[in-house]
Amino acid sequence: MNRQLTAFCIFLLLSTLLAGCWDQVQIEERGFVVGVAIDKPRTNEAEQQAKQEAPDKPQVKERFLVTHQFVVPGGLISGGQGSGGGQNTANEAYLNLISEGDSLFEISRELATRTSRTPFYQHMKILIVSEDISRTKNGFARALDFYLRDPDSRRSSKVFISNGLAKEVLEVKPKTEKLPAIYVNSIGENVNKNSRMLPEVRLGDVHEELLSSYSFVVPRIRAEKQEVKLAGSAVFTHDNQLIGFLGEEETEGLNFLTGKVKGGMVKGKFKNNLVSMNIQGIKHGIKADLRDQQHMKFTINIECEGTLAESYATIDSLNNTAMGKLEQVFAEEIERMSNDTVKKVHKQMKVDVIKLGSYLKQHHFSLWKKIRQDWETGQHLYEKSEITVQAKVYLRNIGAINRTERQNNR
Amino acid sequence: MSAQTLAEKMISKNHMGINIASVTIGVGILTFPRSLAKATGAFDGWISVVISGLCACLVGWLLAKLAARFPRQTFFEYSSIIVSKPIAYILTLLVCIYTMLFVSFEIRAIGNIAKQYLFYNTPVEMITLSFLLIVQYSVVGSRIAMLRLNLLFLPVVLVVMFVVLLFTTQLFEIENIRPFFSSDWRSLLEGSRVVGLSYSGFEIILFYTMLMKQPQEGAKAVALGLSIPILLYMTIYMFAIGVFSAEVATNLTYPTIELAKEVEIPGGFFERVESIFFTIWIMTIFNTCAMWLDITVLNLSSMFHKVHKTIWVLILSPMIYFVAMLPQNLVDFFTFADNITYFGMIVVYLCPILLLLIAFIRGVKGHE
Repeated sequence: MNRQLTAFCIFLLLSTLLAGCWDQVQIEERGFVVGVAIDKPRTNEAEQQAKQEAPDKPQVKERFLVTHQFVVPGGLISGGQGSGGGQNTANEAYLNLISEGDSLFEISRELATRTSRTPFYQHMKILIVSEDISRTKNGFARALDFYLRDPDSRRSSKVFISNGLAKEVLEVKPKTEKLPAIYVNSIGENVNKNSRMLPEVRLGDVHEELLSSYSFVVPRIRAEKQEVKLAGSAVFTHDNQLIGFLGEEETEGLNFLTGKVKGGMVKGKFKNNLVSMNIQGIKHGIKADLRDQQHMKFTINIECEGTLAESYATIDSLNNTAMGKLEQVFAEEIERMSNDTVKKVHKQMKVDVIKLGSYLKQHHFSLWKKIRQDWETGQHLYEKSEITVQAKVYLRNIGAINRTERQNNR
Repeated sequence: MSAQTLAEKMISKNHMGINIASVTIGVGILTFPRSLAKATGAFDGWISVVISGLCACLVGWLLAKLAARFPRQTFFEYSSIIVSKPIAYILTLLVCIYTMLFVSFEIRAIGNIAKQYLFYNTPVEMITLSFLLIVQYSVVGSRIAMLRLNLLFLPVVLVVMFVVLLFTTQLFEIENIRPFFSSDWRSLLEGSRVVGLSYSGFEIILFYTMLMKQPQEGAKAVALGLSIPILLYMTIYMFAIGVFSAEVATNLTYPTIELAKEVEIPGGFFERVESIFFTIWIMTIFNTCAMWLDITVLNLSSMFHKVHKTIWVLILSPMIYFVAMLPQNLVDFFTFADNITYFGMIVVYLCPILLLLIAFIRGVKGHE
């Protein structure tokens, strides 16, 4: 009897413990967020309304307009099968929900009143912050705090700064991909084809930059009707405020200066005819002359390797002197681009996005400890320094042919 | 007795080493890169890991010497030989409180972290309770069988850790680890103190030596047992700094979890590696917890022979559970953890070393 009673008690205890799960969420009930765009609201209509509903609510300075892009799995199925769903007549694979509020967490939770699937951030691929928000003081960091703090989201989401409205990027209708967010994400991976694109910046990298005392760059994105253009970069000062953009060519120059070129092309003029080179690899080094702290001299050496991709000049490219001249042409072009960038970031914007401060910290730590406060601020030693660029090009191959047409007069 | 059953078998030197490694790898592994990066502010923290590990080895060696002097005797028995019975009672009770608090701490850590990353809606109380019940189950059974689980789990733990670290190499940035040797000795010492908290656990040598085939090999077991965590901590720290940089590591609540979350196996075939990481981490905590609870019971039984092991477990569990629920938030919890370790330093490092000294001076020795 006693034994049976014990068995019964254990049975009861186990069934309460083992049956049921507090955290059961069916996969169909999850709203997979693939992209998020953060804007400043255009009008203050919603704010007025919120004020009317709760007049005593504490006032805040900032408001965000956030677009969440959800995946609609039914739309991912190609062909006509998806249309059977009924509610999804356009057969789109995504759903954009736009909501406004003071805090990003509030907005995320507000979506629960509007969608059957609550946002789930584990598969968030891209995060776009608008230029307006980044230009406000601390705005960029505030917009990202929620996504960094939330244990659900990942530090590997890519971050972009939109030139214009951020939500427009999530509204493009690409022909090649079903999901705009995935489309943008895949473009970001094309860095080895084009050096005018900044290498991807992950949410984790941004966190690193926000915490560090250096200036930094984030890729710029611009939306057009059916596509986006991912080129150029947004420049942030050491106090994490956007101060301007670098154009495509300036970004290319910056990539050369920081040694982050993975591939791409360089154009040059050879005897008034265009020649272009396919970049295959780059080596990058910095030499510093630090004797005078008020006037430090940095020399950035760029060694670039590539093959001839296109030549409008009818030259005998199987000739060593001609090759040497070509190499010279490309090297000059790289130097020109880099110098243009230096001019802009060093003299105009006065931000150390070439990461010379980081170089000093890594290689001359004892000096860096002394001048850390006076680098971009204080005595502005960075501004007073001098930067020269030296490029060298190795043309390894001329491609499948030597010449396309006969040389003139021969 | 020629045919030994599993329950009567003694443990070997290597097994003891693995026990020590299993008990040492616990909650500290998740948080130490943060406190270490905060203290040293650079990659050099690995030096602190080594310094601290060597100190732990030294203390462990002394403890092993003490335990080896009295083969086949429990902590209570040999301390009462060295310093009279009443003092031995007090000392053993303090040790019991320490080990019990440690169990509380570990089960609360499970609750906190599982709630933050895995179960958002399940109450911490429930997670903790279910975990405690399993620990009880393992402790009530045969002691050697429980210790054998370590042999089973530790290789899995190490392999998974290795895989996690291997896949983070693509995110490793050399800029983050330079400059080398930039921290001064003071911050390195501070770092050693901080990371030292994550080494507590090797003191089980005091209590488990009596189960060893050859008690004289205790010191070697400690060295083997500590070398695994030293190497593991060193690699984890190096990778945490290489992937995150020191500034970021300082600002992550659980850097090691974030490290596991960063892993992306190429091809998008398997995305959430941290789920495996959690599994193996819970396995190590299970081992740690079971051993601590077992030692509490062992010491209590050595003082009060008449009470059965199961009764002790049933008496202790509610107390452990209650204490585990005391910290109100994360800060409280971390302070609680640090205080336990400081308490432990007095009770299980300092006191036994004094015991060894007294035993040495008085020439007290156990007999086989």
